[in-house]
Amino acid sequence: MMRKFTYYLLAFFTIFFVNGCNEEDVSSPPSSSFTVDKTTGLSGDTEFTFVVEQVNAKAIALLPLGQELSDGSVLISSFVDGKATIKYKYNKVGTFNAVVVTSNYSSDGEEIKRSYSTPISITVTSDKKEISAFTFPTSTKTVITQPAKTIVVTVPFGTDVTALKANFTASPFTSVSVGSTAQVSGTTLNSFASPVVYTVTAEDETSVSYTVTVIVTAAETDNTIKSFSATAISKSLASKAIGSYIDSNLKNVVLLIPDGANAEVKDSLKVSYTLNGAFAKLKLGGKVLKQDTLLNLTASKTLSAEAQDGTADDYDLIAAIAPKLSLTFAVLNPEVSGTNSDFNIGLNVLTGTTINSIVTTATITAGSGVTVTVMEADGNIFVSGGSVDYTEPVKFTLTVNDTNLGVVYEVVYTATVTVL
Amino acid sequence: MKNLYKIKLRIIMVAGLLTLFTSLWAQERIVSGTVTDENGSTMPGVNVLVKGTSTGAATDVDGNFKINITDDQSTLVFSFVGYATSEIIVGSRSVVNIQLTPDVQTLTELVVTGYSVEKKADIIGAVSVVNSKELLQTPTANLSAMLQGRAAGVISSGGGAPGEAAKVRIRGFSSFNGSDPLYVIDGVPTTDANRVNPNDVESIQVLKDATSASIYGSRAAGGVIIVTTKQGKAGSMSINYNGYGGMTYVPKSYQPDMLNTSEYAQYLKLSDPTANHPLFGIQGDINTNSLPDFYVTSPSLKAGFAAGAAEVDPSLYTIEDYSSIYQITPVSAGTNWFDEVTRNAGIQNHQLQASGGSEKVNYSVSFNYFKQQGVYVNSGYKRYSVRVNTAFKPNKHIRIGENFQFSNESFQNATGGGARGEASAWAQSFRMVPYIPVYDIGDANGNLGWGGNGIGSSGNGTNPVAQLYRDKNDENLNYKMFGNVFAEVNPIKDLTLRTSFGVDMGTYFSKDLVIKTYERAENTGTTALNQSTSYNLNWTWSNTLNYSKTFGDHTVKLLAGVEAIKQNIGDGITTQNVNTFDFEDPDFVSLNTDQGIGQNSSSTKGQLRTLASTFGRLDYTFKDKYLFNATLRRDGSSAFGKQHTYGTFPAFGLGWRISQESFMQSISFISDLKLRGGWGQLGNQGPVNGRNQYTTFGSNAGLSNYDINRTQNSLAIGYSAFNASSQTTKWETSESTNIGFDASILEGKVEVSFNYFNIDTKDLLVGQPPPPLGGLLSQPAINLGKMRNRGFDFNITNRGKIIGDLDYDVTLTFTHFKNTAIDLDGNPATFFSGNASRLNNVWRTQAGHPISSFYGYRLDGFYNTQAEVDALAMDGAKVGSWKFRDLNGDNKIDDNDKAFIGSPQPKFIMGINLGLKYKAFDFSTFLMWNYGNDLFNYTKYWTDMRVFVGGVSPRVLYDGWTPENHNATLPQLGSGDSDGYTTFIRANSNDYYIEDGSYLRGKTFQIGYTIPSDLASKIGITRARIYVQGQNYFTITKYSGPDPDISIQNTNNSELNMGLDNAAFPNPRQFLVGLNLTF
Repeated sequence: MMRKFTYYLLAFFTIFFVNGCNEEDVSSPPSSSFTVDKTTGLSGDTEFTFVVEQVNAKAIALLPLGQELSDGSVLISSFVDGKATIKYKYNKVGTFNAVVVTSNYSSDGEEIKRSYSTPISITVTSDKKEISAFTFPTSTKTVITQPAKTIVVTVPFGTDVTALKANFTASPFTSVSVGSTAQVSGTTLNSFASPVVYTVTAEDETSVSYTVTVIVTAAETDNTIKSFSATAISKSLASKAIGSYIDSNLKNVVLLIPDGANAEVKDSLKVSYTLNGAFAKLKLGGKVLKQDTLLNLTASKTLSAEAQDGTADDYDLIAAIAPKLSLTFAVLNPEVSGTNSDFNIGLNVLTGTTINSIVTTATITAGSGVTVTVMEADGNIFVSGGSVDYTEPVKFTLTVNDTNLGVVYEVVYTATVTVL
Repeated sequence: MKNLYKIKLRIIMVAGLLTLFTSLWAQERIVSGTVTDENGSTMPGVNVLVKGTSTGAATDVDGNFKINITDDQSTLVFSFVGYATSEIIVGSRSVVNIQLTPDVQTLTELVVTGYSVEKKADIIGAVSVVNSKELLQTPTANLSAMLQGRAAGVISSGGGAPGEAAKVRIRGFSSFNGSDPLYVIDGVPTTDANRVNPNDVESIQVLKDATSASIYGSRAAGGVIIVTTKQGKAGSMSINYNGYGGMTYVPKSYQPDMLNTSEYAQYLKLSDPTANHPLFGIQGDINTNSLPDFYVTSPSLKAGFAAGAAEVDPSLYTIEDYSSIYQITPVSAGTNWFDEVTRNAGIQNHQLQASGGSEKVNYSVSFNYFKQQGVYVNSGYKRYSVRVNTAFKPNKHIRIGENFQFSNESFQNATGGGARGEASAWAQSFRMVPYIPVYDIGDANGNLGWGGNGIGSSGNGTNPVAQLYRDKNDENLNYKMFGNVFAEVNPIKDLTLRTSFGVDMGTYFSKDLVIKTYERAENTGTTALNQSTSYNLNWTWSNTLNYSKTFGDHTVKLLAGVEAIKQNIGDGITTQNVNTFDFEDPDFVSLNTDQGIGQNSSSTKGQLRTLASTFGRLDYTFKDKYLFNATLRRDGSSAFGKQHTYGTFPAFGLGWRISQESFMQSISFISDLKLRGGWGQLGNQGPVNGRNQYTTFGSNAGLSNYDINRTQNSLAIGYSAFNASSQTTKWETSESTNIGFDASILEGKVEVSFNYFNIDTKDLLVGQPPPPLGGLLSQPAINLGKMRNRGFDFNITNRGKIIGDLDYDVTLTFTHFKNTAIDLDGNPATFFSGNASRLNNVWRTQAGHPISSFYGYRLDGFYNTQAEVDALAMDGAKVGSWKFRDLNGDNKIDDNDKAFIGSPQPKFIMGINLGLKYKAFDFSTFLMWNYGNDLFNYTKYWTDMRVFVGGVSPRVLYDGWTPENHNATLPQLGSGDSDGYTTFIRANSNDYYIEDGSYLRGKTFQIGYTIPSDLASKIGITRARIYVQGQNYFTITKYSGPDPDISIQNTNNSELNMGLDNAAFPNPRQFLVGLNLTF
């Protein structure tokens, strides 16, 4: 019986394969032909016009550089009256065997057949000879004047102009030389103490000369600190970003630790900074202070900010625990107290509350020997019990005199009122 | 002559076995023997006749007989009502014992079709009947996952997640947007097969063509699966217990090979020799492959150290505060993450059923408990269900009853354990680097922390064991009720009026607790609780009238009916609470126990859809030979605009029982042969949203509010359109033609059913592309294009005896179809494109090709020399990188060189079920052969393409191009100029991912033993059988991924995006022990 079964199976498989067989046959396409309006021209300049004959093939492509090189090949997707016109500019020099390839392939891409047309030989030359870019590794500015063939390069203060390697870009297929020395971009050393003449020779052997002049900029004098901040490492304030107050008159940098933090956080602060002068340096103990240096600021440290020209100012770097500002709206019923998060104070009031003028009670909490001398709200002198407009977040600036540290600084709290 | 023929056949049937025939001379003598039934019990009253004579006898109460014969060539004929007549040549024997088998006359079987019951002999449409006993050999909770290979024309594929549904398609794909079949369970339609406990299923019929299915009109285009549940039988009372328990696991061979730690160090050395790798670069030396013993992860220190270094002093260890951890982790020699996430998981199923009845009432009550642990740790599925089916018959004319199932199912960690895609446990197992262990060294009290890639430069995978553990309390909890109440009246003879009201309802709850992490490269910084709930309530009210009458040679059956359906996908609520839990104990965390901020909730608006239908059918039979059938259904749907509210779906069929003709009577080996054909239309409205014909508007503070009064301090509330409508959208229509035959050969020993089909679907429903300036407006479904499915399917059943007591039966199902998109929008260049999660344009559906074809470049070897690089331009081409095939010959690789590189649709699917029975033992096995489809092995994107840092395949290290070896698989492994993995190669679909997805799988084997009935009856049991079973016990495939059974599964929930292996949950291997008891 099993044998009988086999016959049924064979019969049905025959039906199946008759039904299921749909392998595509890929035939060789006919080869196309093409014409071109000229067979010589200049690279990047002369436009060649190819006219390609349509044939019955799945794909027809023009290969202007021949079969061996891929640049510029054009897949022709539309023919008009059995012809397609392709305009092409060569960007290489040499002699090329332009050819048209016709392809047939199966839709699953497994099988391909191709035919090639008779090639046409095309010769391309070049007369371009231009320097389009000229820099040194440290140069800050380059001005190239093409009609006058002059190049002026600016380098920073302190650059040794007697031994510089120039990076330049010249037109393709050219050679560049100074006197009789061939020049390689980024490699050849020259002295630019006086102007240097660069000669560019084109592929067609015509040449042109550029004069290169180097100007050294004067030294920078700015030695001010733009910003200074720190990251606490200690557990109670781990990873907390700490801002600073920079006093450029008294030459102080005060890192502002929010009130409530244990004083021991001062012993491990990872500091970072920016300076206004591009070539200025900030030094600690005669060495450049690296970014993200871990410092113990239990006692203050002296930093030296040094400009490029050597002028320097000493700054005291002090970590201070800032007084805490607490805000209360006692006039509202129920009374609203702010919630402090570092130097931000959030206050939630009920819907319907007029917030453009709220009588505000301010309470300062500060360590002994620390006093707040002036308080300002958005730049206006503020005294506890005064009214404040909270339609936008309000900045409360406290001028603090810390007699323990012997420093005066400002700390800013931002108060935001949210209507629930 | 007839005798001789039968003998020949018998010889063929036992091919390979030697049967001896000896001829002896004539001699009158007495032969005796015993007749037994299929269970081995003796049979009294069996007629025994010497063939060709009038000599006869009957068996006594013990089944014994004695009879006189004239010679050894005499043939004894045994016959008994309900059993197949059996003939035996006596030969030289004096004792002839015989076992009779029950008569299987399938052509007189009754088949439940649309709204009625028909004799199988009278069916003209293409209907497959699935044997529920075979079906239940698949140990799973979901009926859809059991259908694979069991019926010709049915294609099914599913994963191995507990409780997971399989994707089921009948005769290909009739829609771009999913063509799930319609399940009609006891007359109530649903699209969710999981509405019925499979153990309660009595029979399943699959209606495959228009002739049989168009009575279901607008919802039948995907085919109809009719499920009938078990009913009590009059005059008996029995209690059955069926249960099994066992173990499931993912075999080692399913795991992809990965590099271990020392190989990984070599890989790093080759791919990035200058890198200051945080692990190897500080204490270990990448160039000498000396690995550190531990690595430390803290905000200020991330590096590897040798044992004994001050930095790895265990007292420094802390993970108490997640923002300032100091984690010390031993460097693993190579963690096999697949082993770590999987386990040997338990599975058990217990079904207790009581059934019985009298003339006035019958009942069947069952209880089922199913529990399956996921093969991923901390995941699983559990279901309790209760079914009550009763029918009351106070007199001959009235019947009232109900069929109801109530079930409760819960999924543990369905999103973590069962999910596909790059975040699933399987994907994380190949995305993790090998040197990270599952646990770190832990604190002084031995509390281990999770190992993770917080060290940096180790990718952005997550420790999957940690993920599964953290998600262990996530659950989905569903309560479902499904069933109907019905009444039937016979007001006059031959006329039956029936009314049935069915309900399909469910409530769905899900809880997902997202717990903060500390060990990852990309940590979850906040704890969040997400809870959502929704419900659905659908009802169906059908009223039908059946009239059946025979006038002489004419038999007429009429069916007329009306039906109303309301589908109500109810509103749902999703709430989320982010950020502010101080404790993560699941007993503590609720939406109310947070710090009071970060809560938000939203609702999903429900969808209502109604359907009002009238339908009728005429069946006419002349002389039991010529069959005719016509069906018409008219459906009105609330989803379509006024112009197309109603759709009419006609069908007709013709049948000819040619075997009843006199000229066929001489062909004795054909017992029954019926030729049949039919044509009809079927509809589909599935992809259409219930709101399709309406434009809806809403207010959204961010989108529609505007300061139109120029107050500069307040917004005026505005309304904007939410979704656009279409009045012209209409039914998707499938036109189906079916030609086939049913044959019963050798008195039912061989049965064949063959169908050829052609299904053309037009007006395919697709989402309208949004206009370029359409903004956020969601778009309605519109009609577009045409698709064809053509093929054939057949099944063959053969049963009989091999020799003596050894019975066998074989069933073969075979399905072949070819799917082609005929037209999309009239322009042959138009196509639909589909993206994998990280790789774009993987699929293309275009006229002339099967839907969901794979699309991309073909590999064409390597760029071996600079001259080859110059000759064929490809973005980033360099020596040692792959070369794609230049199809059009233009010497450059661009979009024009992409091709259809494979299709996920199989060329055929074959299922073979083989059963053997010897005395009290039975054996069965089921094999699945899926042939001729391709799969897109997306795992290679992660393990071979080196796009993300993570686990790496050995192919990268050992089978890459080198200047010496050009006969490689992958590009050159190197850095800078020698790195052959270019961006272009990594970013484009190509046939490196395409693999042959054919497979032959041993789905099931079962060996059973039935305890002899006399022994069983002593302990008060009517029948007892024990069995052992294996599932997925072997797989033969060339596919390199874990499981090739993903052929037609969807990605992106789209029918146009099939067959991508996106870390699919592999179908596990299972071994079970089971018990069937009847009291």
